[in-house]
Amino acid sequence: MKRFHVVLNAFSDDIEKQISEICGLTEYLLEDVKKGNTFIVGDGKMDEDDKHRLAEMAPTKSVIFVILKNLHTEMILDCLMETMCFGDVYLFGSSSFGQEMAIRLGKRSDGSSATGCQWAALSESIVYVKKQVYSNHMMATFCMENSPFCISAARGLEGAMPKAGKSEKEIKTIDKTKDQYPANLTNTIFEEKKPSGGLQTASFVLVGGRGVKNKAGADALARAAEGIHAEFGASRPVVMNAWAAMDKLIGVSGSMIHPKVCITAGVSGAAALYAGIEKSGFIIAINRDENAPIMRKADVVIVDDCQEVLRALQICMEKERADETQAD
Amino acid sequence: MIRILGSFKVVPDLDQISEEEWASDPANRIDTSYVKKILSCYDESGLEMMLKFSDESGDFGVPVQLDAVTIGRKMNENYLKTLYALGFTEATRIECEKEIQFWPEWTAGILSEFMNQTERYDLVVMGNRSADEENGKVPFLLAEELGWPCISQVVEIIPEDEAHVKVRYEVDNGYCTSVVQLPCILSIGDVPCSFLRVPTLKDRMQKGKKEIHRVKIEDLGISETFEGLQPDLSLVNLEVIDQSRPGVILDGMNAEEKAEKLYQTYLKGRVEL
Repeated sequence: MKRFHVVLNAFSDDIEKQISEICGLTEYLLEDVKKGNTFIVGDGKMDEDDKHRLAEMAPTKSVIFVILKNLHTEMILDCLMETMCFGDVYLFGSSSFGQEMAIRLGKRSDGSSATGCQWAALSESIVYVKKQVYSNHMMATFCMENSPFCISAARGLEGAMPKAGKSEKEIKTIDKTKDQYPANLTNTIFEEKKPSGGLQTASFVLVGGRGVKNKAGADALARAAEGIHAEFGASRPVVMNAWAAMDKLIGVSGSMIHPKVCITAGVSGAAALYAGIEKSGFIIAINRDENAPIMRKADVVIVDDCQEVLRALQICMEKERADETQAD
Repeated sequence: MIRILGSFKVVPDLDQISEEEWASDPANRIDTSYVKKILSCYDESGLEMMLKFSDESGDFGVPVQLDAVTIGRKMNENYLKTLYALGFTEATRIECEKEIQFWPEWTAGILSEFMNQTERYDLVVMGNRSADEENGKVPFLLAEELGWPCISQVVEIIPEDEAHVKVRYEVDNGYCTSVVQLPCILSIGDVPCSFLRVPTLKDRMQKGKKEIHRVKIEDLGISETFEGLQPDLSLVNLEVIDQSRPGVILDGMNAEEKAEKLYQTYLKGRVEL
């Protein structure tokens, strides 16, 4: 019988997101695989209350805390290798930590690894995964060849959080703070990311693409976003040309957004960008090129200059605002 | 001296393929042979970062040698010539006429054998993934093969001394800057303004004609017929992701009229004023 284990990174403050991603990935797997352990990796700052709160969220009954001096993948890999059994399935979130751990654990244990997976299932003892390939144009189904199976989730996956069980969690702690750590990284300085301006939670987003042409065009679009009370985001070419800040990046390597309304301006519709907006409730595309791929991926399209349309939209919405204020 | 190897992949420009053309053949393969080929964007960032590192190394008194390697067909040599023109010292193509996909273990195995045979690199720089396969596995697999550390999502490399480099890299909730002991593998993430610079015509003429080293896969002890080798993941099925929506065209005499229609018909009630 296969067991599945979950590995969570408590050095990051998004542990609920990690669990949600793993639950989204394993909707089918959970029914088939006997539950194993949830490994929660964190530092010595976690007190007993923190541990109990995290353990309650864990999708398995058995929870093992691995306490480290700092987030060092070698120490975690050693710990996982010590408890590994043939046939086990290891599940990780979508972060770079999850991806690295899945790949390295798969290789080190002579098993197999799959990253960025949308779906995992078990059929007649074979583990299958689905993931997007060819820059998000195609969905591929793969059969994983070697046990143990190490799988990391795709970004943006969401699953139902596990319900709190009636039975008590079995909690163990492995303290690795006094172990010898490899000294290949020294003098590490951490700087927190600036908040991304609420792109993840915004209900109305305006996304600029290569069609903005230059920095001035991107700046004009950011001002238009402000004028229509939308959050501003940008495609990879806009960010890579430094026309907009990195925290505005939407798509596979940036924010995966799900607003009620998303307007794309000068966006061609490249699959890498579209993956970041596909969960939008309603998509409006403004582009001069009526044959751009985005025109078939939007609910409503306008064939025109995006800056002109957005200027006009801003005026229209300001007038509505003024009328409403007067009526009040 | 720090000897740096830049590894890159040449990939089809997938944005050039129209929506109708995304269909796999019965053997689960997408024909991209007719599509324009480009440098994989993360590898391109890595190569440009190597050049910037070399530009700055003089100020730190750290001599640097930049080399490049790619696995693939003869057309990849155009990129190797460009790298020679930009000042790279040795450029190698590992000859492979077959299109190998969804097999990062094979790529990492070949690069590992190449590294073991050459035994001269302190640092390997490569993109964190390629657009066609979306795996992000090769840098970590290579690190495991060599027993080297690997730092991912790297956005900046700064010279430190002959045994260390300073690296800035993205982590889940921020950025870290660390001094890294060599040897090491750096996998490059999203780096703004990191398009590969263009060599001058003079440099192309003077330096771009250096001989490209060619290595056969068999010379690395790996069977060209992949005997005894098996990928971690076997492709079972490929299907097109349907992203289509209605695409209702909003007509109007001018931008003002279209904006007014957009607001009144679709935005009013959906967004807050």
